Amino acid sequence: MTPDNASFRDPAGFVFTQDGVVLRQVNLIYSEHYDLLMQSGLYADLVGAGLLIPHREYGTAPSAPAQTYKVIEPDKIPFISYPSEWSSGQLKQAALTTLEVQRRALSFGMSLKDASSFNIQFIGSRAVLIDTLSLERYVEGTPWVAYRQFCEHFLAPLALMSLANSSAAALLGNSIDGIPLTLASRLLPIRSRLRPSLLLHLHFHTLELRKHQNPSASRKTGHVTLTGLRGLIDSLHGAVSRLKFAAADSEWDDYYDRTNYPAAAMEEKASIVRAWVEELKPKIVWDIGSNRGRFSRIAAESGCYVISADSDPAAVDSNYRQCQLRNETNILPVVIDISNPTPAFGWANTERRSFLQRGPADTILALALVHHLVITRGVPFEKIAATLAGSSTSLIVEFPSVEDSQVRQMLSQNTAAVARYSETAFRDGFGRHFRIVREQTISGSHRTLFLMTPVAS
Amino acid sequence: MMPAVFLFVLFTTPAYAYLDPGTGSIVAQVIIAAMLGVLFQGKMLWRRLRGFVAAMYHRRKP
Repeated sequence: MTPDNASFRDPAGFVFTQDGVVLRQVNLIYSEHYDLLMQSGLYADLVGAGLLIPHREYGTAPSAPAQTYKVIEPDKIPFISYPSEWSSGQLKQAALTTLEVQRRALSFGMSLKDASSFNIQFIGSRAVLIDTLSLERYVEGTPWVAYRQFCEHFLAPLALMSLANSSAAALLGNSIDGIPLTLASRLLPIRSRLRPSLLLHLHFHTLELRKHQNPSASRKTGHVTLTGLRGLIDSLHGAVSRLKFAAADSEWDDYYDRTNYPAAAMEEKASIVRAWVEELKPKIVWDIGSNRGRFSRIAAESGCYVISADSDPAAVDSNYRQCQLRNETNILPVVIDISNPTPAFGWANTERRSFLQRGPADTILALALVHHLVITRGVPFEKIAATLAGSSTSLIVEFPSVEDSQVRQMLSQNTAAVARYSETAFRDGFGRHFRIVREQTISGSHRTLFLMTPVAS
Repeated sequence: MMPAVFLFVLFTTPAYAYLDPGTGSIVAQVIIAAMLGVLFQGKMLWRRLRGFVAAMYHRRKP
């Protein structure tokens, strides 16, 4: 039994892994709420609407019997992603999911006791609440205890991304508490005050927080009617829905339209990747530098789950919109810069895992990527190979030679990289960590695809 | 002025939630929810009225 490092704050229960299965213990202290969730019809309603992760009650002996009420086995989430790795569209979807859960919960006499963005996970395009123990009995007249958390985790970052600057997502960084309202209120432009919902939930909310900064001896609670609560949720829903995100000035968003590939070569590349993935039969694929996910979709045809990672939030958002349109459940777009991936953060640096700790993948796709890492980012081939070899059991990598028009242009702007970038350097660097299984040059281009497997170091 | 009007609804009872939103946030919520509750009720009433009128209109149509 291994307790999950991210599950210790809520006394209602905790997550642990036993024989490779992720389980959630329900403590006795929460039994009344759990029974209400299951018997009121709320569980069936939320699961039916795809808003809550389904679970089965698990038979085995619990890990801490004295406190245990039940042990449940939730459906497996293929890959855990964090709010700082989501595009604006994904964070917005997660916010709307949280509000919809709360809206429905209130009609069944229950309420969300927290509204952490980490409690939402994506299964492809679908956002679901994974913390089954977040729902508790609603007591008429009590305020929504998670109101402030919702504003900090969702409304503040979304408003900043929409009205201040799309790069405000970076403020989420390694935060586990969202964005402080005082900071958001200060950074938001004056025109945000013209929106009544933002004026109330962010600016006025901040004003009151400042006014009552000194904690009094006893904690205060106030009276909020059910209608007031419904009005609050409805207003937050409107506030989030109305936030629009300009297709940011993306470096890569029109990538496929201005690539130096002839259409036939692109097709050939696609068919090689398709054939190799079919052959490898991976379960989890990381497509790093996926742009809008064209090759993620080709890989996904084989039935695997693809983490479609790119450093450009606009490309990831465009990728996510495609996922939503096609209702895809096996492609997860995430904002990851492979040259500076998400670190481990939270309590003791173990609460939230780094990107690489969430591996290894079965297969990594690194298409049209290495020349950017070597020339623009200055990372040597050997270092790239070492990292990828430690995170996968097979690799499909594309190498554009120095004759490639894009590489030539990049090298002309960065003469220091000329000595470092060559096919010999590529073969040498990757040869230290991988064995080449296949290689195929794409006709009509100066690019070669390699299928490699890591060698034991 | 407005906070003073609503402050009377604040009283002290222990809260057992593991999340502590802070007094300021609760005060803000009490005030905001009181206003939004009224608006929400109006909105629901308006929706029902519209639905009622629409139903009447459809019934009259041959």
